Amino acid sequence: MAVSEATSERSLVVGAGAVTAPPVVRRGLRGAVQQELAEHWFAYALVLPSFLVLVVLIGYPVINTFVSAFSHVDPVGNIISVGTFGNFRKLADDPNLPHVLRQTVIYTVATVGITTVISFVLALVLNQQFPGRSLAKALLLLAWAAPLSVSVMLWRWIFHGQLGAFNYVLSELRIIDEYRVWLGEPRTAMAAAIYVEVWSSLPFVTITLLAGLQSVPRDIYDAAKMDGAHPLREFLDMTLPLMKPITFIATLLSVIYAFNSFTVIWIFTKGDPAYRTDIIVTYLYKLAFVNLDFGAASALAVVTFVLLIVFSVTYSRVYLGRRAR
Amino acid sequence: MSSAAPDERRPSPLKYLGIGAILIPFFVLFLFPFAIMISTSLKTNKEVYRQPPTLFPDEVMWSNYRDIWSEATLATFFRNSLIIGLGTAVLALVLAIPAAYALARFTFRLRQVYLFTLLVIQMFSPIIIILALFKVVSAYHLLDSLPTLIVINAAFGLSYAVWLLTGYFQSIPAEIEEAAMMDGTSRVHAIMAMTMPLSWPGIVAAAIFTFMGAWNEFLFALTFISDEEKIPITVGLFQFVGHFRVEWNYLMAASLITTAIVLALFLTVQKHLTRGLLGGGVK
Repeated sequence: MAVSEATSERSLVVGAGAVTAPPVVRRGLRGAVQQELAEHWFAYALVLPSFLVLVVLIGYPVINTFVSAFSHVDPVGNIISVGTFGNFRKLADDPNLPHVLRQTVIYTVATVGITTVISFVLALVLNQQFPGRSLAKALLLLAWAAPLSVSVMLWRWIFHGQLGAFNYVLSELRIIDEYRVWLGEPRTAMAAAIYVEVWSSLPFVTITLLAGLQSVPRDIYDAAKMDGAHPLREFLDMTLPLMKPITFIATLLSVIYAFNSFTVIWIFTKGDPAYRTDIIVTYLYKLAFVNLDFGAASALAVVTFVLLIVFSVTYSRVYLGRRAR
Repeated sequence: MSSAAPDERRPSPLKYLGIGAILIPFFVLFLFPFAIMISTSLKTNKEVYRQPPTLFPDEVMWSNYRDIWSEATLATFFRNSLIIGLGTAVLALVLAIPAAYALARFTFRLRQVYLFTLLVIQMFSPIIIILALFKVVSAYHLLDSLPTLIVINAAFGLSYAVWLLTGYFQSIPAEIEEAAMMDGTSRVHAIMAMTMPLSWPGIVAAAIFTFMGAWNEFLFALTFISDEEKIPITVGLFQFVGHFRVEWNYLMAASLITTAIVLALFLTVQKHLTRGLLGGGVK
């Protein structure tokens, strides 16, 4: 590998030498830049188009949103003047924001907690040898590949107040006496949305955890068997600690995913009634595109971003840090 | 511990029972919505509104799958999704292949910067980006345009495509290009003649993944397209639900087609991916 890198590098220099002047020792930053470009002009030419697309379509909007958050912004979103905390003050006075935040935390924690527990059990089962194992994995992945918005509409049909299969099944099982409009009341709508969010996150988390289980070396278990370890002990003392890093990554990604999840809530309720099923992202979307308050929406976007960063750092400290040293 | 040893080779019936006791109820619950989707899509409109509901339709209406196409807008939605998906895949690959090749072969100074950029981009929620992107897109009168959606989807699919392809190109030894260059062909020619043909499983996989991303995409289409003629199927079905009296059987038939297309593609990639990973480079 190292040899091939070296040869490819050399051949590139030879290729570049044919176009530009033979390499001279140059001084200063400009010289260094020129030399780097002369040596690697081909690599930079290949990377440049995609880099420009990323800068224009993702880099610029992110910066613009951050600047807008600290600016006076007109209803179309144009920045009038930079340098104000007005948007954040407006957020602080927003009567809806406290319960939207609470709903977001409930939504995220419930989704990630339930998903992780179910996925862990599933991954342990799928890690066994049994006929139909690859079919089970394929069925899981199929649901993952399906378009989320279409699946959520399907669920909306299932939760339908008069015709939905959910009402029918529950009343047949005598769990409910009469049909309910599940997506019409905040509590049941939230529960339904969490259920669907769990349903849609399960495949990815399960497959990730399964990959973790499969990377645990087999001989560790064989050694434990020789020592006569009880299966439960084996699970608690070996599987769980070895699964710690991958579980950390899976839960962290799930939190970010659930926190940013727009589709389920939007298709189910759009946050209605009275913002009682909104989570931050749906509320933010309405601030911008319904209330046309791009300033407040940008400020909320910044708050969200900071919250996620703070969470990620704290979580990795707490989760990974304690036993590290 | 003598009982544990055969456990590895030939699992006991008890173990199968345990596995079944967990997996069967789980999959019944997990796949239940798809059963409802198929069932509803094959019902008459009358049966959809009848109580109690049936799982197996009294009268199986295969014709629903034909009738939805006479609903002109639905055909338009599918056409738009197809254009967006294909356009996104092509554009993403045109941008990602050169970049991935450079990342796989050369150790230039800003290589790490570029890789880091790809990673950081993943951290921003689309919703943060959409705020400012909407201003730009509307200021330049680019709303309600399929090319706009293609470019945005391609930008979002780019990171993944570059990651996937970089790994793929790295698995192909540079020596085979160098051998061709010794014979006097140019570098670009050597890449096209040697590396690209060997990389096609990776390229196909990247194309299908970006296509899937664009086909399944909902938020950008919802925000940037309002013209009925330009709406893709994901948003189209959603508007369908919002409108007048919903014909759930047609909606479910259209949903099933939308899902089936992407699932078929996904199954293809899976095969190519494992083949690519197992095959590993030149064989």
